[in-house]
Amino acid sequence: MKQTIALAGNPNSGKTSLFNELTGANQYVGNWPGVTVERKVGRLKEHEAIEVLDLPGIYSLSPYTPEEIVTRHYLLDKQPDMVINVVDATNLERNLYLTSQLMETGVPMVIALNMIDLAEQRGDIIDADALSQALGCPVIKVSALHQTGTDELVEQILSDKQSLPTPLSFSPSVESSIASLQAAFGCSRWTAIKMLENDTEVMADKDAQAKHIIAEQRLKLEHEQDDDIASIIAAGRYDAITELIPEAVQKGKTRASFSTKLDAVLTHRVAGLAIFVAVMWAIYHISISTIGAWGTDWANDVLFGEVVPNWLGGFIGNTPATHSSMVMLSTVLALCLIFPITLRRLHDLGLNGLWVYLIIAPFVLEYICPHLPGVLHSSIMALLLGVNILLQLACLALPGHKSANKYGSTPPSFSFTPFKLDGRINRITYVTWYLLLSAACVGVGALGTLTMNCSPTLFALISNGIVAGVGAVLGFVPQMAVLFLLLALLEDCGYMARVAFMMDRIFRTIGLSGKSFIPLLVAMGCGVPAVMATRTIENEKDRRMSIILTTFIPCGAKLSIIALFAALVGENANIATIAYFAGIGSVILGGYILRKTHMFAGSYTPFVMELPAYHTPRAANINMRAMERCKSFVRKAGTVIFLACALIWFTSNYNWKLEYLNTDEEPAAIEQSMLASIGNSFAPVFSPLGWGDWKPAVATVTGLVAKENVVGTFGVLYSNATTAEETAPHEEAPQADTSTNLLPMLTACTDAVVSLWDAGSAMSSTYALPEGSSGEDDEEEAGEEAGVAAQIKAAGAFTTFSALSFMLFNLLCAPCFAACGAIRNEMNSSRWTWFALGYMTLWAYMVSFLTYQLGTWMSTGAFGSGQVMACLVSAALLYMIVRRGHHPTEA
Amino acid sequence: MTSETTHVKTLRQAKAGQTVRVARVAGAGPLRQRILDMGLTKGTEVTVRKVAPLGDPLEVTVRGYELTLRKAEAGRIELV
Repeated sequence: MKQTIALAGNPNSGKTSLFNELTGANQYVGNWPGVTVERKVGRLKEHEAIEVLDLPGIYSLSPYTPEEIVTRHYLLDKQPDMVINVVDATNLERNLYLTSQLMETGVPMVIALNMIDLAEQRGDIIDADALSQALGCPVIKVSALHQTGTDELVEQILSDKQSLPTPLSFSPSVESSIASLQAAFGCSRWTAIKMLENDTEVMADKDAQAKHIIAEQRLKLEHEQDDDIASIIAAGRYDAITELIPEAVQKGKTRASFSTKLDAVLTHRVAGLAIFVAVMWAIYHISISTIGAWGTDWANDVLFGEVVPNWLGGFIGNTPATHSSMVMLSTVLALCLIFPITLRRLHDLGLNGLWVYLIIAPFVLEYICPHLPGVLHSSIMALLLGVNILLQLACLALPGHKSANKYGSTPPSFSFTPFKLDGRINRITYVTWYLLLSAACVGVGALGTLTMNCSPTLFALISNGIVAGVGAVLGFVPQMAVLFLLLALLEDCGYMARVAFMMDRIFRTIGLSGKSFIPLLVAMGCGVPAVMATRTIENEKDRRMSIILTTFIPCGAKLSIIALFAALVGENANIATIAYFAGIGSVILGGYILRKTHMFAGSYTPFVMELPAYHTPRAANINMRAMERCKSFVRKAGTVIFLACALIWFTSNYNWKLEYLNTDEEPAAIEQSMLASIGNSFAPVFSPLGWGDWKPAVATVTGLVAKENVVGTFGVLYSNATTAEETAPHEEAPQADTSTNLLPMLTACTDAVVSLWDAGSAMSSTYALPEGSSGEDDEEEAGEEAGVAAQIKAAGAFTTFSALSFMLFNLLCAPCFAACGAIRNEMNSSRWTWFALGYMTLWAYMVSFLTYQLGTWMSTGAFGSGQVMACLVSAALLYMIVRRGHHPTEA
Repeated sequence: MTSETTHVKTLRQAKAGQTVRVARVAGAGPLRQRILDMGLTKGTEVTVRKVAPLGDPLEVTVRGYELTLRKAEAGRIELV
């Protein structure tokens, strides 16, 4: 009986689809130790004793990329009982190249000839028996998409027959070298070939004499064939494959496929770029500024702004909850809980993910055709609703796919949970869970009638600390769900690879590939989904670097800081431009410097990439990928965000004697809080930046919860400071400068803000507005910022350059906790997370320092120790940019 | 095809639509291994499909699939 089987194959060979088919709901996604290569483990449906492992998609077993190394070590050291080599039937030649290497590892193997339906559609006729004969292991035609052949594959897994494949043979001279090495060292064929190839891992423990023997054989071959060994071995493998293929495959004639024609348009010099811009605009618009933002606004303003507090007021407070908020809460809970199991049930019925599109459709309708005649509009809506109800009925009534009943009917003990999004669920289980969950939702809603009347402090802790923290996490989910669905769609249909193809030129200078474009674009809306979007970048170093650089781009929330300082400094348009250029400049320079450090050196990604054929996206895959990402965000990032929010809430609402300060009712009480005194103690750190006062320092800290808070905190801290407190201008900031720069009148600054917002709404398709500020709110917010600006101005806390330096620091330093959580999630290592946050903060510090010191020097001519330091720092920066980077050993 | 030229012709110089044959891949290390692994070995036929809109990576058809590589990499691939 086998215990572990592993799936190995090329990227884009449909390995993951097959894995999902084989394991269903029982899978666990994690990472390989030490690297951020995804490690997926599942259990074979109906045969729980057998563990199935999804190895990373690779092209070869060379010891270079982390994916390859992980796979190699796993196959050689852990020795699975069997490898299922997933081979793309439409692309046999290159897929069999990996097969030829897998065969040498000496692990029993079965070949799953995936996408056989596509190959047959093209007119290729593949003789599986002939192929099986030539390769010495069973070959099974499979279509993971249409769920054919999987039964046969499972039978093959369960059978006790061990099928050791016969490795393909090289040319006679290579074979004789392999044979003599095997004889000399008594090693396996794999080791012998690797020794010949001068593989770093295999050669590491060889002594000088052994090396000499091996080198002799290698040189003999290289001399004979007038080529080097890497080329001889690779060509040898491909030659063996090209010899073998005509025996088993009759190629169809139709070469110019639909994919080729489509590609001609989508990557066309002019049309391609236009389509690209349109696609990116659509993604950004749908996920960040329309559908996703509506969802997020709704979650923040209605759900966590009214419904939940109202319900809480009833449950643990003393004001009875309204009927409507209890109903609303139950409905939302029901949607969240029943949606996942319904998705699985739809998958079971072969109606993958229709629901998602049905849910999005009304929004699309509203948005794309807002002026439809009333009758047409309501009839379309009624139709959509009808289909939704029909789908729901189908889920409850239809018996379902036969294989679901075969594999899914016996959920092992109680491991079936409604929260797993993939796999299958039969009718009885579905109805049971449906009823259970509905009852639970109604029950939770009904708790609102309790009125437990807890103590006000506990109530404040729960409603302001905990619920606000949870809300901060969950509020992002709608936006991310939409974004991830769209990204998964692009990935699945093959367009993502073309994005990289078209954008590569731009990103090469900072050593990234075209795939980094999407995170940077999304970052203009919100850093959290942007960081999560880096997951589409396969190369580990590229991904890490993109994560670090992404949040330099000013997001929607940071726009409120920009607006505040535009009002404060007065040159509104310039400030916005400066902010965006600082962001983009930081990405470029920061990336350029990072690339030259030893951590990222030499990883100029070999941009030798497959452009997979286009195909119709598979709803099941898209759903699963998108939902998996949302889930991992809520699970991992959620804890970080939640704890951090709770901590900030605690420190800003309690003083050192642990007395509760009711900052809700008396905002000014924050001055006595722990946070204020902590802010006081580290404020001097910021004095070289021109704002060593505790108030900006505290604002910076509260900005970590959400960047909008900077404005709010300033509002609180400076509201009573206008007359009562004299904020001493900083000693390095000359008095004359302060007075001249802060003179512009209130009216002027209000005008400035209004014109900025006018410009902002004109650009709203390009730059996101802050969350929660759609349309009518603009004026209100602008008013708030102008008011705060006026107060700050009256307090005389900032000069032009210290204001600029403060703004730049807040734009570029560590992002909000939500984004930090996302970074932690994606880096999958606390060391790297701290490095990322440290790098960002250091960079921000440096930029602000230079801005302030050099700015003051230029405007006043004062040259002091700060300016000397600034010159030194700029020189160091210049050195970091122009120095020769670490280069890899290769030529 | 021009007859004897002193320069070695590389994939970089091939025009879109042209089908050429690989003679050898210059250089060493991971990048070269990757190029070989993707099937650009001695004697392989390569058809240049197009150049990316911004002028750099090339798209080629090799062994029945589409591959993209930068011009710098294409410059290492010497043709017959």
